[in-house]
Amino acid sequence: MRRIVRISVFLLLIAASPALALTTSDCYDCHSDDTLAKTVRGQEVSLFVDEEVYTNSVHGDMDCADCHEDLWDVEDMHEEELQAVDCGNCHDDAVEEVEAGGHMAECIDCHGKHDILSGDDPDSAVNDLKASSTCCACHSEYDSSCSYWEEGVHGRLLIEDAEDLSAACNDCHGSHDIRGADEEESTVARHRINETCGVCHPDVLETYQSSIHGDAFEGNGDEAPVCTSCHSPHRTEAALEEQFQLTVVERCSACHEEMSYSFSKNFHGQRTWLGDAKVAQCIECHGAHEILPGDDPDSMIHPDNLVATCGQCHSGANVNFIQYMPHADYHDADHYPMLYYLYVAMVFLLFSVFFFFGIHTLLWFLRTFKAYRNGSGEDH
Amino acid sequence: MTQDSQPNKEEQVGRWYLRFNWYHRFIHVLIMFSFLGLVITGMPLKFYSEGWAQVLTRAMGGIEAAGFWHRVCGAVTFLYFFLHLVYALYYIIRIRREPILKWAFGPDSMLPSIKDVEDVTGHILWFMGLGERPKFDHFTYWEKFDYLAVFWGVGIIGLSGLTLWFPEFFSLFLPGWVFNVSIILHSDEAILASGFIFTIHFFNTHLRPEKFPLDHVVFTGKMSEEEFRHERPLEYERMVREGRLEAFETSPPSRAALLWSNIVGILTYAIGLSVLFLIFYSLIAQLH
Repeated sequence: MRRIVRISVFLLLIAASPALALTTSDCYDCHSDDTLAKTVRGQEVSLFVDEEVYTNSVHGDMDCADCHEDLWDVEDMHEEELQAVDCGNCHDDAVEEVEAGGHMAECIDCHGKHDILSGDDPDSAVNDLKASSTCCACHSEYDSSCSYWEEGVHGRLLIEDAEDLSAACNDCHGSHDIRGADEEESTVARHRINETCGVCHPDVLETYQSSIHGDAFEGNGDEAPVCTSCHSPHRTEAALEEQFQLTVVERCSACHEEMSYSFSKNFHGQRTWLGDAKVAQCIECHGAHEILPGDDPDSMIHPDNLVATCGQCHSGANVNFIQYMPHADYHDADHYPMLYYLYVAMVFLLFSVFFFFGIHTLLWFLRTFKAYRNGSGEDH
Repeated sequence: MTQDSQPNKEEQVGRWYLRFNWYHRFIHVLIMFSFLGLVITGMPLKFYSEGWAQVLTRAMGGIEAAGFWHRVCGAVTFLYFFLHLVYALYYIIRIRREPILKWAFGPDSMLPSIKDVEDVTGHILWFMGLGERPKFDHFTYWEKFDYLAVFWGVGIIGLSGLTLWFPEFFSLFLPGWVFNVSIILHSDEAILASGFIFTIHFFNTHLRPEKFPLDHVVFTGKMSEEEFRHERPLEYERMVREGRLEAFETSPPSRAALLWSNIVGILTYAIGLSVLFLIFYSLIAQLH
């Protein structure tokens, strides 16, 4: 509303004082020349304004002087250097948000100048389909977030399928109030990231909120995992892809180190280490977003549900089958005494055999070797 | 042969005697190939976190392929085990010439006897220069140990391997913690078996100075008279006494047979000793 009032005031002003300002067609007298340029710090900067592009732009109905305010009282030639355009004259909300957020970019860095289109237009630099290349024009110089995003499922969906169903930079980071993740108000701050992801993934968010992880987040947010604790924020992997399956143990082990160690001591873990994505990793048995502690009747690893859980892969799993201990650690005498003593017995057997035959073989070798060196053929 | 000269085991002149028939040799080759296959496809799983385990798994075409060949070799193991039992039964029923108990504790049986205990002691005393070298018969005590160890090994590794191959079936009548037991038995027994074969068996049977670089007898089936008299004097004397020696006389091994034995033997050393090195390297690395 405020913007409309301002625009109306400008239009009135312009209409009321035609003699004072340069008209847009005056401007085109010079600026439609596509060789018109100036030199800034050794760089040639074009001063050409394509009339057609401008007319089709969202500001196409406005006159040059509406934005270039220092043309208001110019009658003939303006000074060589014009002041920077203040977009905040109309778009004060957006400018205030940018200033509060602290994003270093100027309006024109993202939106362009004379070619600004509405954000809904697929050709707009800030349309979801293009936003990422706009952001990445600067950000690929600072960090790897852009290249990670392109690799991830969000990036691939947006780039390859060109469908705006996936998350571009602005969907998570916002448009004008962009802030660092370490700031309270940031949409990607630890305590807000779940809601941000939940905008597009509401079912997942709901499941997570009723899980042990969601509970922990409500209780003591600092230690609980949020979306980005398990899903790399930019390189969002599709969870069914091999790359995610093979690294899920590593992700969970950031908090559950002991469990990932004992997992590796057993068949599933060993196969995972050697690149078998099909075998069960953490989430096949514990669930992903729905993880609940083993004593919860809804938990996948609750004794009542184990037959079904193991049965996902092992058709025919029964009450005997589920007595297998997938996290057994035979070094742990307190929790697995039977396995520990079996292991000790096997090691004892190993050492006994090698102790006896080791000495036996060594003595034999020395005896025969000596006999051979002395050349007494019949003594061996 | 002079006082100083060594008995030349590769000498292809003189008399030669048949020690192993084609069935024995065939079973030994089956054991060799399936055992090497099992070790190569199985060890990466035991040492999953080592770089070489991951490289080897990739080289085999991934964990699925390695698992497939491991099971194929496991099936061959059960096959030779079965074939041997059939042979042993056939031997006991049809070939055995003595009453069963006399045979069982006599020199032609694989079962341990009092003489084996005496031979172990005598042999060790001889190692230390404290006595005469014992006179051996058809099977020495270390050969019997190798033989019986395969029964133990195939029993432990084979059964535990089967439970891990078909867990759903075995859980019909066994509790699931049996699979935890199987994992320990299977992997630790595998270390014992491969460690034993690649050091003790290699040395005792092939690499000791008299046999170096390889005892061909298990491939060609033939041993020279000189070797026979030296290695197994009791058997030799007994056969002479009983007049049965001529029946075992055979032609000298062909050059082709010796060449083939050498190629297979050296490849087996190369694989076995490489795996042995990797096992040692990894076990020591894991201590730190």
